[in-house]
Amino acid sequence: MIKAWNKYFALYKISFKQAWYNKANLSGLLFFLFILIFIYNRLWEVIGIQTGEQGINSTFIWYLLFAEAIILSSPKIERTFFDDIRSGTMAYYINKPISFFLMRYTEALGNMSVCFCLLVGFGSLATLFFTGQPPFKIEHFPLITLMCFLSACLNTLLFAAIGLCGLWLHSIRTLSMAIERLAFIFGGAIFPLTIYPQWFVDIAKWTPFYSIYYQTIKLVYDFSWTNLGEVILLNGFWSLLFISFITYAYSKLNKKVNVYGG
Amino acid sequence: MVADFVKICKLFFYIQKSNVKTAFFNTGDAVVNILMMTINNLSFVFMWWVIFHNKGSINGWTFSEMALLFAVSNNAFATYALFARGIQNIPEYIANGSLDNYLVTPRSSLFMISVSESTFANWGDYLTGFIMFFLSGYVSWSCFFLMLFVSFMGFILLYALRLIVSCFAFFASDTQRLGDNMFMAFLTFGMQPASIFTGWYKILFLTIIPAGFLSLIPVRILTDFHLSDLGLMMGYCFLLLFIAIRFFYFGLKRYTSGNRFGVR
Repeated sequence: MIKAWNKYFALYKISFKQAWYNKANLSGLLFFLFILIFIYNRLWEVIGIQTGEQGINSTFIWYLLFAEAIILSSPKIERTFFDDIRSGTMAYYINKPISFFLMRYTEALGNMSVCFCLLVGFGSLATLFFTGQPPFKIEHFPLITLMCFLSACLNTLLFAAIGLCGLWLHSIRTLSMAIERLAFIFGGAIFPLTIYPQWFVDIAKWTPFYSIYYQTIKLVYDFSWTNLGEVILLNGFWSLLFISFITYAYSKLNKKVNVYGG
Repeated sequence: MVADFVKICKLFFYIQKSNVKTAFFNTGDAVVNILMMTINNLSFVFMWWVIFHNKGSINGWTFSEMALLFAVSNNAFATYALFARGIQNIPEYIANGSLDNYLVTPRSSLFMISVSESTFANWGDYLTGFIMFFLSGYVSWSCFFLMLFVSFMGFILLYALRLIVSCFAFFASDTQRLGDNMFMAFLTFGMQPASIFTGWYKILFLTIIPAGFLSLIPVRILTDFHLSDLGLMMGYCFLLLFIAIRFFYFGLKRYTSGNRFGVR
């Protein structure tokens, strides 16, 4: 059993190293994060001055940092799955002593881990520079980071599930874009859900984005053990749903896909 | 010269016709893609509507100015994504050697690369652009044609910037995502209310990261027209396009064909 998992751990390590050595990609990500922090810090500064809410930028920019760490670290796994299904690459792996899905997923996790750690590390320094005092106690920082990392794993799983839809859809580009945008809106990835009308928040609560993004990231400015427990329970529930869908789609794929494509 | 231009135009329309035909091979899929893109854009608009609804205005900008910004930027991006998106694949073409295919065609290689990819779903951006224009409250025929013109200038700006970041691939490896992120950073800058950038921020906004030419200047042209703003925008966009094209051909001199092979 342990031997079986060693294979995946080896893949994780290879992918981690590959991502680590891709300096151009990593610097592009960090540059983009810096620009986001810079712009939205300016936006909330201006709004704070206008409405007399000094320090509003600190809360929102720390919130934005963790939201972007989850989103930007996601390695476009849906495109990998879609291309593998369409091109027939997947069929070549079916008879190999390794699960194709777990192989791609662990590769994605390796890539995501590097990006996530760098984004949080660099982003925290940049956010401290722009805003000063963080809105959470410093001893809560590792736990908040860990919860956001688990959310990023769940986010990758969600996009893996979207990639498997390639079996039924001609193109998944627009679907994945729409899901990304829904995540931004329902997950409050740029602006926290507190600024949205209540009817909208009530709808958002029924989507996975609410717990993957908003509930988890909210720990940044509203940390409590009750909130933490709620996040773990809700994310656990959505993980089960995603895994059930993936198991169903993957079993269909195994039967249908061939070397000429799905 | 004129004959060449006519030939290129004919080829351009032929390629676009073929793209539309390919997309409508599955009509349902094409329509759903456009609708999804429109919903995608409108959800972003909704987010900003909530902000403006809560805060009233941001440094003098109201939702009307924001709607004009969305109109211009969506139309500009749609034109780029539908007719010239191929340039974003330059790093990939260089990495796998497929740039050779475009270099040996009798037409301009840059033109052939530009039209090599088109995303049909981005017709939804045009739809969003026009919806936002009519929601802005600045509705008149003159404003409409001016909006179309500044959107076209916005397209030139986007095209030139994307070409410059794509050409980094001639000088370094693995620059695909670096280029994507730099372009996204520029777009993110350009999609914010320009009024938040004052003082030094404004200088940065119009020089090092020239996103002001996608947001501040076009909106100012549409709300408070001055010929000098229009001249400034046109001058800047064409200058950047000139630099981008020169940079592409400069980089191309370093390109030494592909030798990649693959097995599976």
